[in-house]
Amino acid sequence: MSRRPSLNQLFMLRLVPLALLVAMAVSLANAWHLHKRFEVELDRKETELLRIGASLLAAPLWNFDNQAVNELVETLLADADVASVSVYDDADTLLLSRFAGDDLQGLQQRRAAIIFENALLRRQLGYLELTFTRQRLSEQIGWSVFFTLLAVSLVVVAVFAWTMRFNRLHVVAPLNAILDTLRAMRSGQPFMPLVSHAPGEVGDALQAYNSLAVQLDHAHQEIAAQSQRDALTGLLNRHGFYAHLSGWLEMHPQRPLGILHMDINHFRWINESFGQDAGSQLLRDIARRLEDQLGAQLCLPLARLGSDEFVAAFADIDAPALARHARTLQRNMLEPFEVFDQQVFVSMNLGGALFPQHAATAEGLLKVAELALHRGKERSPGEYRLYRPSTVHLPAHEMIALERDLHRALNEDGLRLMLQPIVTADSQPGARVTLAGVEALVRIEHPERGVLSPDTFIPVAEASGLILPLGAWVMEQGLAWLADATRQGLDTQTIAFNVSAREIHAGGLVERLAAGLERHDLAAQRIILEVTENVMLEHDSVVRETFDALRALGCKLAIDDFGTGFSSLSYLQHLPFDIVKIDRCFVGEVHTAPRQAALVAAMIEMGHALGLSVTVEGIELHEQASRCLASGADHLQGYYFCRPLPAAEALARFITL
Amino acid sequence: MRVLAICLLCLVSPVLLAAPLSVTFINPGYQGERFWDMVSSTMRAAADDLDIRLAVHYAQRDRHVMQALATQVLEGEQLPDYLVLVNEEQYAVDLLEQAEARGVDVLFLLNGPSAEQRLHTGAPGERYRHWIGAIEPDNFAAGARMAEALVEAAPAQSDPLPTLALLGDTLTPASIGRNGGMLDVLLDEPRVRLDRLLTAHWNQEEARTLTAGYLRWLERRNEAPALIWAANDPIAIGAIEALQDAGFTPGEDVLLVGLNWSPEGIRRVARGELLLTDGGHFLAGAWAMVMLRDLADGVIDIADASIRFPMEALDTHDVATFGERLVAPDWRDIDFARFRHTPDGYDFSPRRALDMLMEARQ
Repeated sequence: MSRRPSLNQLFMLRLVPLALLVAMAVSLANAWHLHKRFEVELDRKETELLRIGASLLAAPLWNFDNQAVNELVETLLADADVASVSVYDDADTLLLSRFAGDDLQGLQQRRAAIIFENALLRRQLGYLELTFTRQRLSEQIGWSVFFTLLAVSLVVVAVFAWTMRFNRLHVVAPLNAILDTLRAMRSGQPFMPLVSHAPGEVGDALQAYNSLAVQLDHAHQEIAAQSQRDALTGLLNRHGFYAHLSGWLEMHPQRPLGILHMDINHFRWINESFGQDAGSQLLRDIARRLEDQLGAQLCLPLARLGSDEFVAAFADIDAPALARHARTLQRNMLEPFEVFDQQVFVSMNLGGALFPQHAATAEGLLKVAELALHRGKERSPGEYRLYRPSTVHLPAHEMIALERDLHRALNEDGLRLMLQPIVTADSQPGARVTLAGVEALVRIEHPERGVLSPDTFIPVAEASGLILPLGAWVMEQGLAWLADATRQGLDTQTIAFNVSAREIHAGGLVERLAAGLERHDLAAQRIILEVTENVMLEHDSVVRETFDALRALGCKLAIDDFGTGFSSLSYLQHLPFDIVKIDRCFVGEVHTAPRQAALVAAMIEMGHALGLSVTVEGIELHEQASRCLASGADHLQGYYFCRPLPAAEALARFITL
Repeated sequence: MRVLAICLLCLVSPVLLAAPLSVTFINPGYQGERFWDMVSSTMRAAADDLDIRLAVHYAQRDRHVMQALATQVLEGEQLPDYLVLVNEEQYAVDLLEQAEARGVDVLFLLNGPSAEQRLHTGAPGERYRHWIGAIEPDNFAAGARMAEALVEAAPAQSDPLPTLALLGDTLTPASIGRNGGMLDVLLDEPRVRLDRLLTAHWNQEEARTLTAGYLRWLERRNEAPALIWAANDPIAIGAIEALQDAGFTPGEDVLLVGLNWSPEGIRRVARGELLLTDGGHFLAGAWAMVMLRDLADGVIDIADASIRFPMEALDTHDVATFGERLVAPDWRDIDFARFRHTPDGYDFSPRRALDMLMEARQ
């Protein structure tokens, strides 16, 4: 932005030409006036000089007194305005002529009769001729104009300086003060009323500014306060809670603190069944019940983090006390809520975290509590889970770093698609391997830490929601790879994508997949979507609908990590799976431990009984492969056959397989 | 009648008849100055003839001296019967007051109060009881006579005659009268072109300078002078010198007139350089004595004591007639008693006096 001219500059730009114009006009008017006045005066003087000269010359001329005539002529010539004097007699003969000097300008000749007169007679003796110069007139006018100009200029300069000073003191300075205050306010400093004794309108404006700024300041404070509040429930929002928690931790770095992150289960159903207003009303009721129950026990105000998530903080608390609070809260929720005269039952999952054991910052504490919540939710609905740091689960600060890395990888091409082959059970590495398909996996190529495995960052991606763009990326890259492989002749193989509960709940998965298949001209039958058992924890219609849609599209569904998660087989009855993938933990001892071998065989048999194809994961040894083949497994997957390969390398390998 | 009157007077005032008159004259001029010496000498000659004791003081042409002399006389123990004053440059009138206080009768000689002063003084005896009268020459007639002589003698020509008038001054009543007479003639004369009236202050040198200037002026105009009227002889002589300097021949190329009967003037007339010299007014001294004698004797009274006597022009012919007498006349040869008042009045003609002088010599 170009800098605007200052008030003084503008003032100068207007005043200076105007002042000059006025000075000029005054000088010209003065010069004209002087010229007129001088002309009249000079004319009068000339007339008088001529008259006196003629009259004085009469007697000497009469008396033929040449000396007196000469003296008189010299006297006349001594006058500054007289350029020459000539005396003529009555016959117009030149008697005498004298000149004052050269270089005289504006000459004007005048002549008068010399008349001698006394009591006895009157005679004309001749003429006196005077040549007048206007040089003195011009000089006088010149000087006069000069002094007028000087005087007017001095007055203008004085007025100008005074005005500038006045402007600076009483206009510009107050305005600059306002400007400074505004800048200070913009940079976050508190509003300070301006003290000024500026007169007149500027003073009024300052007063008005002060009162307006006070109002604005109050409004700002109000807005700041409101920005920390949830409009629906009146509780703190995420931002507000974060601010409060940060403040608390800063104020009490030594005091233990526990937070409970609550998530209402199936809240979507309420919205869908009763409408948005009912959902909002329910949230308000839940908030009020929570506040009533917790009230004074909280060290920070209760907060609503997201649509159906709340968080509460307790000071000076340990893990068991926090667990007690969690249980009390769950119990308290058992009492039904009224929505449109109907009783609605609400349950919730809780995640807990303790300061300073689990995280040292407000951000970390919230993160790990959320992680604990989601972990618990994956395992069992309605559960409370305290965050447990583990080998898998990184310390909070590392998780935050990982989240940053994940962001960067997504945005800066730091992700690598890896593919692990799935082969027919009768394949023999080095002899005959039949590639049935691949599982799409992802790695992060960290600029400092090298390649990061999914075990490290997937939990973080799930907790942060980055799993959604990550999943989309993997799917797009996988489909592109498959299209490429198809063009290279691998036209029957399948590709398997891991799908998390969150991706299913987020929606759009089916549509994205359909669009991708169409774009890459691939058959849906070649796509396998793997979900863990935990996805089936809730009898969620969304999951069911998504599965149906995927099946309708022509895709296959696989249960991943079978046998490790939610150990209910009932979902096998209801949900339309095609493949079951037996988790690697059942395979490790399969060739040595008969009980394990029997379990795997039973699982394979159960799968087949249900009409599912069975894949065993984690095959690392020839014996394991043989046992599984013997037990009737359809496909095998593991390092024994091939490690996950970068996409480009994989294609080359598989073609030559 | 006259005898009776004398007898009556003798009866009334035997002392007056018995005692001679005492008269003091304050002469304004220098002692040795011809005109004023002539005034004194004619006065003295007449005083002798008329039994008048005369005292003459000279003011040396200094009005302060004149006033001081008058004061001295008026404050002296022996007061004169009559004080004769000349209102030279109009300063004598102031003395009237003083004389009035002392009771001394005053007679003005040659120059009486001017017309302006008359407004103050009134007629003789009117405001000042002791101012008895004034004897003045007819200067106006003299000026006019001189001018007429010039005009008559002027050559006949169609062009106007370039004429110069050289005045003595413009203040003295005598001068004013003379100037007036001259202008009366010359301004009305179509043949005359009066170029200048120049004041020479009775000074010969000044007259010469002025005339030279006039001649240069004429020369620029390619003209030559014709007539020069001079207020007295010295002025006329100054003009003659200037003319001669310029190569003119006075009396032939240029006609001049003078006044005073001065020896030099008379000589110039004799040489033909001057047309005439007017004058004879120095006889006023004698006329004053005659009149005071008559007044003292009661022959006339104050009303008759103010007279204007004629002057006389002497031309070449007169000069030839009177010869050297004119240059150094001895007025004692004349019996001034013969000029006393007659029933026809006074006959104060200068020519009569000259004739008497010639008679006495023969």
